[in-house]
Amino acid sequence: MEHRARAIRVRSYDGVDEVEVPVVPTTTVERAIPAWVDRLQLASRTVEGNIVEWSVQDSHGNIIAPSADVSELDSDEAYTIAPDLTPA
Amino acid sequence: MEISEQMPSAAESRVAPSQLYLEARLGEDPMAATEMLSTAHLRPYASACLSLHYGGRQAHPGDHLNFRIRPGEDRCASSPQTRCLLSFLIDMENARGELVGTCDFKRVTLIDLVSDLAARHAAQTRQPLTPEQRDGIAVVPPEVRYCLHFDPAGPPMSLHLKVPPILETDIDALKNRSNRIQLSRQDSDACPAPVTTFMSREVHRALEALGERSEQDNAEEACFLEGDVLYDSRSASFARVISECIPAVGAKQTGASVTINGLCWSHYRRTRSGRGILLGEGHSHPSMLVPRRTAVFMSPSDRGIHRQFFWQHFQCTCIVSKPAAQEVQIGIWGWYNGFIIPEHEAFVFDD
Repeated sequence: MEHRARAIRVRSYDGVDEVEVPVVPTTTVERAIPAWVDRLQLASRTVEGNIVEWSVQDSHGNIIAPSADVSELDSDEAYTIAPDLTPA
Repeated sequence: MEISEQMPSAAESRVAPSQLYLEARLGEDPMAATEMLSTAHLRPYASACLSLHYGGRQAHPGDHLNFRIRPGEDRCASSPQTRCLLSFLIDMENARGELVGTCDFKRVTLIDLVSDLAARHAAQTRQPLTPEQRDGIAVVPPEVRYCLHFDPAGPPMSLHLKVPPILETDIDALKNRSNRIQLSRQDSDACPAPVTTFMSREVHRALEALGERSEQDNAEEACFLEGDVLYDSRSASFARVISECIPAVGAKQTGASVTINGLCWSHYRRTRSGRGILLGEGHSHPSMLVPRRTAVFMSPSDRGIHRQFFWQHFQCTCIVSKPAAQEVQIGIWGWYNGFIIPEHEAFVFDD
């Protein structure tokens, strides 16, 4: 039988927060990111006036393609969501 | 249970077991809670500001604390209309400890909090929250992580908190075994740092090399700083020990900025030993950026990133510059009572 994740774990870039998020079928990582950012309360960490791009990685540091189907992610894995930061 | 409702003084914040933050605010009505959120929480203390007092004494790492709140026993139950909003500000990253709630310990998002307060306000006053009030709540800093709504008419509740264990050290002894280095700081008025920085010789060399490369290429370069946070109970002070400097491989570099993107985080996660925690970021400023003065300074965007993404009390930003024919200049900025301040010294130890 085909295994599809019903929930996955997502953690913040600094490891402070981790949440379990239910998987919405046919949703891509890219589309899920705003909800994950919200669940992790990362939105309040964005620098005023700057749009922050986020990327998602597994625990081995492999970047998950934005087009990946969320339900095909591994429910035993913890995915990290990390921001683009531009110090100047 | 004694919970301070005052913002602690700088002296108090220095001795706080700052891996665990506990704050309680008691509102007589929903608007009081709203007012609390829109004023007190706006203070950008970010970290290490709240001290936890238990039974009239300071709590220490490793302590087990038990709280019990019963209707009629605590001042929060003095009025039947009282609503009690407890915000537990818990830094779970550095905690490596545990939080056990035998009550209904509910994690809420900011949106939940705003909605809840708005609903309470509307129920009582028949008026919606004004946009200003909503905005006031919406900028509650990210440290507000856990909230518990306590209904005085409800059953008693109890909380069991374990103050997280941290690594104990003797900071003076550590200093004696290390070499002190003077840090550069253009925006001066450095305070005595509440967190003393130690770095391995290898990290110091890596920072020097980063500064040199950046100068040669005339492009900013970044790195992740990782290590441990140590606590000296005798002096009630903390030390950050930077043991790894992991280059931000794949960063988009220009002469005036560097973007730490997904590739960098990916490389960082693959490379890190996993023994330490993220202590901050470092990046270089080529001296061409500001030809007539030191390039070691915090730009507005550096400060913004430090405030928003490296907000824990032990985290730092390290800036490196290596003007031609000069020694490498290193500056470190950390938190002091809610302000980002330059530190005036660091200590380098041999591996």
